[in-house]
Amino acid sequence: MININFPIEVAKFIANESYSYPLYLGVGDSNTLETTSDTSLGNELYRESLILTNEDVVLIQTSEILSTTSVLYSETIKETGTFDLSSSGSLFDRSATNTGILFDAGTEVKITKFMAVDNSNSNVNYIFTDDGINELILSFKGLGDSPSHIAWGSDLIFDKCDALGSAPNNWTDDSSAATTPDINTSNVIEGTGSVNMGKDGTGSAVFSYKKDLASTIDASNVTYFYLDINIEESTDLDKLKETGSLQLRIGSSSSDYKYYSFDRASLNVGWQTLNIPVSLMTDTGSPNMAAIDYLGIFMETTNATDVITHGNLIMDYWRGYWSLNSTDTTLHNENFRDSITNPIRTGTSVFITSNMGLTEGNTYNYKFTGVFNDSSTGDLFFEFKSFDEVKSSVSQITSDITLSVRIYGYSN
Amino acid sequence: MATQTSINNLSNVLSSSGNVQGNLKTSTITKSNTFSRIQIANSTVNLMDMPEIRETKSIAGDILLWGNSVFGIWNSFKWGNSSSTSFVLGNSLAGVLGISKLGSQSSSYQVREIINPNRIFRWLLSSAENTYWVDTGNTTATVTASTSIAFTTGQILQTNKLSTEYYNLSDAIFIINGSNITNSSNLTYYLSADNGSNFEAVTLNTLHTFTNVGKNLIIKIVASGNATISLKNSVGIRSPIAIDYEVTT
Repeated sequence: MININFPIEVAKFIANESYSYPLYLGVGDSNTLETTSDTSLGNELYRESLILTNEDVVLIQTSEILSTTSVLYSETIKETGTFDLSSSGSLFDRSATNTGILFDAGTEVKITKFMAVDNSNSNVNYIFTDDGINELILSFKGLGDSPSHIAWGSDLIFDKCDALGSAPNNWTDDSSAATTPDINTSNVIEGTGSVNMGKDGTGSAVFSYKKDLASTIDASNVTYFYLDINIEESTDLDKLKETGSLQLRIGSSSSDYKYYSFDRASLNVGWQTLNIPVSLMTDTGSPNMAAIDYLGIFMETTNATDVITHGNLIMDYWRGYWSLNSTDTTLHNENFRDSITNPIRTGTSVFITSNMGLTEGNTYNYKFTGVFNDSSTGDLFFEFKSFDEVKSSVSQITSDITLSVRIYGYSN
Repeated sequence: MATQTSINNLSNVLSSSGNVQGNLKTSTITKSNTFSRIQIANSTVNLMDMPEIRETKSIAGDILLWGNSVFGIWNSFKWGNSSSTSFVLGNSLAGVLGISKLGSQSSSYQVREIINPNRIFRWLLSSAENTYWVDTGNTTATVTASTSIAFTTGQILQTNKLSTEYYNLSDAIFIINGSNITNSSNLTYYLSADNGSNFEAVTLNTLHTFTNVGKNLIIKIVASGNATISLKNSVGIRSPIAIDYEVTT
């Protein structure tokens, strides 16, 4: 049974304090039932060194007692415990049985204690990663590096709409019904700009904008696409066709893309985020999601003669999202990282904090935050998904994170 | 200039989204034209109790063991003569001090005691655990270390004994996270409390009272079609295969 001392030592590692870990196995002959608050064996007889190995999240602690251990002859081994020192020291784990093993010169004994580090308190929005668990397990061997930095990241960005771009990789209209796109710098969801759209042609009900990206983007992990659009007036919304009024296309070429169409009833006046599960999109051609370089927005009015004032339709921030996963080793689209200031440990909980100041990490929105143990790359311990935080020269983001260590199934 | 009202509105918007355990909120304005956003997040990692295994090995034989009072009697015992595993004085392959083992090494470790903390058996499918728990003679399902147990029609997972209790087991709950099982209806779950003499069908995550009591717990799962028990869920969080049992004292 894991002792309450063990989580404290793990918390010390997280806080980058001096800590201890199991190095020895003690055996004794007491059958007194173990508790989490034991400080020693009931009646210790002998102590042997431990071998620690690990596999996935499982720690394997093994010790062999050879037949030449004469101090145990005629003794019955009923209890075992792990310690940090060859005598006295801190108890990490103790177990006792009623029967035990009678030891003599013709017997050798092997003790194997399994233990695991568990992240089942995590969920889809906040995850203590396998990478972090591995560092904790390494700490049980006196290795591992403690958390030292906090990083912030964004969705996978296809286009920030801060600029039209340079031909042939620029936003263009259909040269028919759509107005010529330009940049709006005052009505923005992300970054420094958005793209104004409208309809001035009366020969077609369909009007569209497209962009061929300058370089391909791997979106093979993406499970949701997002785009923010603004429909300025209710009269503009009313002009859109009732069904299939707005279609988004994302793909590897203008003939190989996934698309999804929104009906008028699912659109609103004002800014809104269009949220498209990839699983609901339809393929045209053979889109290669590992090489995205085509974005398109197609809209249709009820009548070809309908017009919409340029700038009464605005789009911003084409992006993709995929779920956090315990196997993540990097933060989604990391843009900025800063050091942790003085971790504060209280018992088994460690408070860490870092700040992205007014001049730092600007012109991005931030949705993901992660804890690392290095100023670049390193091991990702913990990550969480937050709101899409707008970051600019008039805003700063402070992340206050508490990492706690508990014994599974206990409320300590 | 941002107003307190706008800050409150923003705070309300953020709070209503509720994506993170703990809280996520904005602070009050510290300067007239700047925002300070504070993210507050909490996470807990657990140290999980798992079984302890105590094994013994008999070294009985006629091999001289230095320092052993029973097998170390000069002129009564001989040096080891098993050339690949024993310490054989003067043998270049088996006489390496500090490396070669003493004794005949003819016996292997046998499990004597299994201690499940709080009488909860937990299994995370690591190969080190599988070595102890999977009854390779009766298991036909595919156990992939730290990953899954895959079944096709008619295949079986059966374990070796998972407990060596002093008292008889009275009841147990067989726990597997249902969301980690593909085609669960194709699996039938059994527990034995008497070391495999009698298997009793059980329902996952439901208390089962043993009819045939005993001290040694064994799992058996039989497939009537394809099915998989995965260790991880869709975001990679593990759930152990577990049995929470009680004994009659």
